[in-house]
Amino acid sequence: VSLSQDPAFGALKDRFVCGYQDITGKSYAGRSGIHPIGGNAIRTTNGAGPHNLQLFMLAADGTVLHCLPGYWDPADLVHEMELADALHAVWRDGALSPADKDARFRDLQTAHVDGHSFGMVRRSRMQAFDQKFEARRRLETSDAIVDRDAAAAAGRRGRPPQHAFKTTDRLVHERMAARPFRAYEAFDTAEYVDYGRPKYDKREDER
Amino acid sequence: MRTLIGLAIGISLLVSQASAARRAHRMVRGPEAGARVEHLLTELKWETSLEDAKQRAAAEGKLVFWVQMLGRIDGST
Repeated sequence: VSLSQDPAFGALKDRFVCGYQDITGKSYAGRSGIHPIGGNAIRTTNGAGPHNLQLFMLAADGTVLHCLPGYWDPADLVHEMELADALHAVWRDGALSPADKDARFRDLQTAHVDGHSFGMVRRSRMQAFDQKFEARRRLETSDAIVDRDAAAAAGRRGRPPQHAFKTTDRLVHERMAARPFRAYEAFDTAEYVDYGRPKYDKREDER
Repeated sequence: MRTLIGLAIGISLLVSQASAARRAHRMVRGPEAGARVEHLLTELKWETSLEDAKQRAAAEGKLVFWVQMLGRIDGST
């Protein structure tokens, strides 16, 4: 739904060649119910449903500039597209060495988080069921957890405290920073999108 | 005491209505969602081959927006 809304729709139309692939059956693909065209849809939080949907922004040679897992708000998506444009300029800069390009990639990805608006950060709270999954299944190893003691308490009872977890906007930039200018074929999607429950279904048509 | 109970019920109703309004705002009902998908499909050409998308992007001086999704963009997801 978010792709059809401006400003995302206009940006897609003007600046991108669009394509898609059905990932049903892929090792990293999640699970969901059946959602027919004409069924209800829901605006959810940024990064929700990472196993079900991945939005790649690629250079024309297939180099991955950016990847957003799950749903993203249209305005926030455009903000991330602007980063892809900046990274593309770095990628095409013939004056930079491969090492310099990688360093610039990491810097731009890391710095972008600091420019996220308060609203974008609020829209990027990880879903509570994904937070619980991280706390219960990989408390000691998850890079989505900031405060392991608080997350552990939440894993045992009730709703997890927000401060125990990174927001998804931060998480994706940190993970992308570790994957500078990878070829699409070499991009480790399974690891990159690995947070939260594999099954994501808001049962929109039952509301 | 009655005043306090009445006030509590009133606040509870207001909170409940606000919560319902928020949920309604987040929901896109079927017909509107269907129209948006139709708009997306008719106004943008969606490649199903990454190689084709890359070639077009090179020719048009654009980036590729490549969606990996459960299901089909023109069918059930």
